[in-house]
Amino acid sequence: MEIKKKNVGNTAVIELTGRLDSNTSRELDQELAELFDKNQKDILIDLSRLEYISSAGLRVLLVGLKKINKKKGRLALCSMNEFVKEIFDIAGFTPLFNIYSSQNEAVETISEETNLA
Amino acid sequence: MEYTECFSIMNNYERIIEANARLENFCKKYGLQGNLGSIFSIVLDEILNNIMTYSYNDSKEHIIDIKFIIEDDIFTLIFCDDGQPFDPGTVPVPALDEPIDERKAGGLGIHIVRKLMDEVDHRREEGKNYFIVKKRL
Repeated sequence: MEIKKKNVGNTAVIELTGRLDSNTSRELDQELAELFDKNQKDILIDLSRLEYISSAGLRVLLVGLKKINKKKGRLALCSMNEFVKEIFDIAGFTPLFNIYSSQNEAVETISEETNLA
Repeated sequence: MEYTECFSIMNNYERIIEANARLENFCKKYGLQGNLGSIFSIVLDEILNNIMTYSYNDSKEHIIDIKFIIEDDIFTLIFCDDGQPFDPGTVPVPALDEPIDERKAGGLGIHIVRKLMDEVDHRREEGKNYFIVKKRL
């Protein structure tokens, strides 16, 4: 799996390419831990190039979401393919996350919400 | 026609990468790509993780035997380990509608395997667990 990072406004964007499984989920876990250490409030994970996700990857996302909720921040997801969406549905994860159809839509919505807050 | 591949790995999480590479090659060779290939990769990841995490109550090295079979348009994956008896049928379905704070990721792996595959079986024979999953292609 490849992880690319960038900042768009106040949102930290993580782009994942490849597979998020038991082997690679640790890398995402570390990236999220670094962002939490920096007290990053808004995080968007772009899944457009993610081939598949296993329960190890889901676990990292769930733990990350719980942590950031406690800090009153946001962890959103965008651009998941149909297959990844199917795994989210099977795991009952779809209602837990804010899931956007594109990175632009996600970043705009997050920054609008930040301005309103 | 029947196509098979058998190999063994040690119970070390790092070896899952090797097992997955062999699965991918097998799938590629017989034209199982796209979502089907991803389904089998997820299933392999879940089952091997499960075995390595729950089957052994010692810190010794153990061998896990893996077999892929394509026969009559059915893909079968068989995993055999010499760990303590473990029947995946006893793993409860995780509560999928709990609010976020109550949600746990435990048990999700087996649940995903059950949903992605058509058949999930377990046998205990001669001190070994056989975890057998099938999907119609």
